[in-house]
Amino acid sequence: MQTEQTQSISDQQAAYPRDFLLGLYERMVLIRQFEERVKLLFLEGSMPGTIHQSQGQEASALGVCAALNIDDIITSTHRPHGHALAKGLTPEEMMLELFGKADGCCKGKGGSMHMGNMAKGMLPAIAIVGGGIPVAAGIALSFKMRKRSQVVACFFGEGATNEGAFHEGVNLAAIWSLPIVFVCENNLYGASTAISKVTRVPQVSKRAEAYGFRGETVDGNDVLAVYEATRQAVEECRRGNGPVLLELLTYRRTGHSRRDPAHYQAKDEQEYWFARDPIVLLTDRLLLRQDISGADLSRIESGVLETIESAVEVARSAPLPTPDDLTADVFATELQN
Amino acid sequence: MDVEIRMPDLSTTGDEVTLIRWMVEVGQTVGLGQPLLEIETDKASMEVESVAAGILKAVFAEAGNPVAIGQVIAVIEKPGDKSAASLPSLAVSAAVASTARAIETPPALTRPGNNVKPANSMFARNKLARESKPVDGSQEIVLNATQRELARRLQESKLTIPHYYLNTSANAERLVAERKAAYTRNPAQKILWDAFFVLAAARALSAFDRMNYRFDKDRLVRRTTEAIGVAADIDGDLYVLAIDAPLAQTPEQVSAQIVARLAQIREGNPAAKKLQETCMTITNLGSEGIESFMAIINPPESAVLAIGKIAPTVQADGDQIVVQQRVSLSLSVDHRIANGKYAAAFLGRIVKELESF
Repeated sequence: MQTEQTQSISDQQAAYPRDFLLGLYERMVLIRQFEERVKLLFLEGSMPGTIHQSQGQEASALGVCAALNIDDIITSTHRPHGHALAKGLTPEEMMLELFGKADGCCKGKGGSMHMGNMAKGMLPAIAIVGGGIPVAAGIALSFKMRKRSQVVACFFGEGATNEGAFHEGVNLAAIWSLPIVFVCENNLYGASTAISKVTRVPQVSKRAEAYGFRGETVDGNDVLAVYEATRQAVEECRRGNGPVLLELLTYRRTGHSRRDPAHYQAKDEQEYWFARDPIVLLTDRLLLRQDISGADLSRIESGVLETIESAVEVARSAPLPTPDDLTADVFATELQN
Repeated sequence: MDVEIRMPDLSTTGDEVTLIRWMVEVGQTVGLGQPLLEIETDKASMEVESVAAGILKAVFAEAGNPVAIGQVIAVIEKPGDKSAASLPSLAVSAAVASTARAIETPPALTRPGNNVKPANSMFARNKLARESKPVDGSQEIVLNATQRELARRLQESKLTIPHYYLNTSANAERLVAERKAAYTRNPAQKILWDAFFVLAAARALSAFDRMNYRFDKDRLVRRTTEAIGVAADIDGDLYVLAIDAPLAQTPEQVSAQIVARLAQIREGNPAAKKLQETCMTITNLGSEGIESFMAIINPPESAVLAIGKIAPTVQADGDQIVVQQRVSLSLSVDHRIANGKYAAAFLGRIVKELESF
């Protein structure tokens, strides 16, 4: 069934509009280069704290978000930069946030692990592993009770599937048929622990069956495969047939955090996955088309680099929050005085 | 344009990391994101990528040394043109695997930019913030990493090891005579008193095997080392010098080893500063005029021997009163490893060894 679907995608590929494909390419490059720039900013000492990065997982973030509307909501994790850029946050509002500046998407109070912007359909990320799952169920319940057509895409890693919150959130979503796409980005490691060491069912999508809904494992490095799978899942959710669990197989090209050199990733495993880099995969496919050239892609790449550099410039010189901002957004308005 | 490269905040708990090696030589070109140096943090070793592209003009840190977070470690000269910084190409090319050797430090260590910025690590900053300014205006001393670690170990020892203490004294006449004779033979080398105590302890340990064990949850584990520790106060910081294989050595050789260890620590040799496993520690406050004292065990050792001053003492010898050079010895013992009777016999053996030099 998996193969049939992959086959049908490559048949459809010719049918994707050129602009759509180039748009996907641009966003993926943006995510990769944004993360690379943030890494250097961290290393030069401009960025405080630690940072969890998503190089290598661009296709899973973008394939999902490309199938959502702006008013559909995503919940994210401690590794949220890719999700945020995929959902439409700008590099500038994110860079401002990372620098702790007052104009950041969370007014400088969230930082890396709470990236988000409700106006763009992203709940500020929840860094507690599995913590976003029950919250996503709550948002989806609100959509259902208010008879909205919106859906929630709830991102988490495979490590979260052994958390109690996973069971509670997923089970509630199941019994109430909530409009949620549970998106498990399975990058094989929960921090440094291989999934195979902590569960006897390494295929996460099989878990859905236990709760009574549909699960599917998808090549998470193939942005079009992720997009198609999500589109179908979203459709089911909008028709009231949710939830759906998508397991996206992917790989981090970086440590769990900036302080982790990922020595636990075996060399041959790295080589296998690096050869299947999502951007390289998409590039190869785009260049097969008559109407896309290498020059098109280079032009996009330099545009992305300029956008990121200007975001860094803006963020460096922007003002910090003031002490007066301390209690803003902390208390409900009635309580503020 | 010159860009200063600072040591990034890659440590999980500390405020310094150890430089393992430079991966690019001074004078070579380095690309943005290319591995520039290899470091060791409290958790792992890792490569650190360059945050600038250009020529590596100078480095200010040497391989093998600890470097504070935020300290300037190198200068990279960017090419003259002011082109926008470009990131490495997406083509995921193999990183340039340069195997450059460590580079000698250029004479630029006192440049103003090279000052260690205090508390640059997030953890250190948070810690300082927590401990900031007492309201009553009293003075305080912020401990460095070594001092904090020592404080932690001592507290752990006092809280978790059931100590008991045995006091006795030894006739030190032969010790004093032997030391004097050695000095006469070779005035260039004066034997440190501690050398005799290290040797006496080593000999006693070879006869009292139980003292060579350490306590581990539900069992005792035999050590593989024969090293004996000597407590040393160096500029106000406490270190335990590991004296290797003392049994095979003369007092002169043991003494020379202690002197060498002290010198290594004073020179800032990180390997010498590192805590090594030792069987027991000798601590001596005799030179400060202390008659006797009880010491805290240096975990996971079985015991610590505290030495008082060697002084002429009035002593009954049969029915005679004599004046004799004597030294007081106090042994603190981990009760989980040895009972009182066994440890008393062990201490008796140390006394016997001291009296038969």
